[in-house]
Amino acid sequence: MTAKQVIESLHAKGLLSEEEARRLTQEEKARPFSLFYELRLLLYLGIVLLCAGLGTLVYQHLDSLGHQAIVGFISLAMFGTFAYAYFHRKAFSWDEVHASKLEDFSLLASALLFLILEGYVQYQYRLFGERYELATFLPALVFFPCAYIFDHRGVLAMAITALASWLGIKIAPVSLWWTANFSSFSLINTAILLGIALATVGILSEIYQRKKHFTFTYLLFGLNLATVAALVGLFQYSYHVTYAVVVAILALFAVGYARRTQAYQFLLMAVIYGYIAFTYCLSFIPLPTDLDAWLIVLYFIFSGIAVIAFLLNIKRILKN
Amino acid sequence: MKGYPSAFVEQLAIIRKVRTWQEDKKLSATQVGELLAHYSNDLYQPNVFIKIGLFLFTGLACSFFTSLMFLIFAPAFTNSFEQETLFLSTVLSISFAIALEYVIRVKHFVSVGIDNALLYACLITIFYGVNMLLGAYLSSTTILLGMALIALLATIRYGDSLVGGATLFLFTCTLISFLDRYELGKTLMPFITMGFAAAVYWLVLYCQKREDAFYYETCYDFLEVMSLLLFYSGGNYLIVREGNALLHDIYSKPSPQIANAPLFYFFTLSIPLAYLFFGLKKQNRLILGVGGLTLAFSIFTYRYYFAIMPIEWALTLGGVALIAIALFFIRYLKIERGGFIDKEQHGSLTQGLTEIALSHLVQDVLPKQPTKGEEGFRGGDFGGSGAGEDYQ
Repeated sequence: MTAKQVIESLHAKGLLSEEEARRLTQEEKARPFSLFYELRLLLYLGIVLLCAGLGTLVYQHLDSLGHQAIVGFISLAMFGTFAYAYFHRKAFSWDEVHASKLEDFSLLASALLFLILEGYVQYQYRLFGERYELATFLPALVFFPCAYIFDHRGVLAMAITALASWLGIKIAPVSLWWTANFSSFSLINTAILLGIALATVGILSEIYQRKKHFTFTYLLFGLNLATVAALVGLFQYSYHVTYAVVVAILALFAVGYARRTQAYQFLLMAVIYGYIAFTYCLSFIPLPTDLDAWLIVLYFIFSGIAVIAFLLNIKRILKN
Repeated sequence: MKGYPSAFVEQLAIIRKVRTWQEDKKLSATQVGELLAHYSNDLYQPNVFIKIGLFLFTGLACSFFTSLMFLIFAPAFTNSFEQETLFLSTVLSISFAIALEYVIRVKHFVSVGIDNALLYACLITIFYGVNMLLGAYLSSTTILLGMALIALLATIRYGDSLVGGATLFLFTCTLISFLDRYELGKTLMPFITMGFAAAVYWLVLYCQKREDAFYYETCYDFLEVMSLLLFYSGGNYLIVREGNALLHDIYSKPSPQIANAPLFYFFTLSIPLAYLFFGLKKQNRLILGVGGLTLAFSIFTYRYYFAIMPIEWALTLGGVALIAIALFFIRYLKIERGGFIDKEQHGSLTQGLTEIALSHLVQDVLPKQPTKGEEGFRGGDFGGSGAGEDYQ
């Protein structure tokens, strides 16, 4: 329905006064058209194209350019963008600080350039030698303070990713789902602990009002990592009960958080992961061979309906 | 004829609009509360993530219901595949349709995920039955036409965007498969496709002025985008040239030049520009998006046949140009100019997306541990799929 139709319908029902209806009609007419997402998309597309193009060019002209020139150029760009962000920053506060878009963007660019520079010197000069853990720990060390000083959730996500990489874990959700091969027992447990630690930091930031808008980012990465790792543990190793309990606790926590903050992405996550874990645990029950197909099919139909009923009544169930 | 009670759909449209006014701070929270108190009593409208969950688990239940029907009835049809298919697809589609009507009429669900999943399940079983039973007797054109008509009926009844899109897709396939039978049809295919797309576009515009347009609001938007894309595809030089080669079973590269090539050059260049122009003029985000998408494909089309500069220079210069344009307008539109502005809009679905994208980017850029034989450090260049090389 167009705004005009809605206003007319509300007015006809006596829900909007004549004056209100006229004001809304006028404001709707004068409403500017925001090109926010369109322009951001162009910007990011431009950056991706430029990086791909420049990367290839640098690679082709490596001999004539010389390594020092390349390192110098990247450093210059990095310090330039960082300086812009630094001198335009707002005063520090533990609350959310609304920075200008260009300043946010410069900080992000300098953080990315930092990674590119680091990768280049490691590739060319073996700066960190065989100590790769240092090369991933350093970005985490730099990015965490930056995220807090400049109040930047994007840089916080980068810091979390670097920290996880330092421990040998891929935390980015899609690679976590597709290549979820924690090939060793200790790596799974490390991932669970890191995930829980991140989630705890998130909750603490909320309780102590220290950048409480970071909580969402910490929980998004932390809970997802810990639950997926526990699921992999459940599938691959013999401590089924322990891992099942971990998944259950994490899922319950996520449901509780979703209910409190209305962040329903956590509810969806908890329901799907919890359902997978529950179904897997049931598979240990021995079934009579002539009935197994029937029981499995019936299980999926009725459990599916049960989850639907749970989701439909979520508000009522969680109120008590 | 309509599946959902019109009053509910209208109510939803009003609630959505009132919420945007609340976000834009044109109405106070108390005003919004008062307005909505008159409406949302018996209409269930969950959060988008709950809708996703409902859709997934309804899909799960539907697929295992299908398995259950097979388990029950398959033994009865041991020697007739056709009877079995006819019986099962009839039983299944009727069950899904009954369930769909039940959740709409009794539970008053309007687009909450459950009804969408049931509608798709119903149509999929019907299409499966039609294909399996009639595939051997009728031409593919007839079958496609039949499916298109079924989808059209479902669209008219439920106003679902995806089903509407599927309807347009099926009609387009019918048209192409019909034209493909005749030499003249093959020659005129681009023009007939463009004419068909234009007809659909005008039909949608016409229908949008009808009294019941609110019932099909999202469906019409989707069809508008699809018909614009189809119109462009009919005139795009690359699609016409490569499609022509494909239709005539020519597989040599490069494919042969087509008749009226200059005309298609003109279409390839002018259609996206026209879309962009009208998108801005009518302040229509959908047409603007289609304009951007088709312009990108036109650039790709040009580069596919004529490489005037090496790819790396094209990428670099294109990137610089895009960044410059974007930054210029971000600064220029800080305040409203000519009805346009650069102002952040909010949506819960996009929350966290930037962080996730950055996290993936960092993971790709970070210096990598070379693959060692040692357990636990398989991360690195190859990810999961590449492990095959080292571990076979």
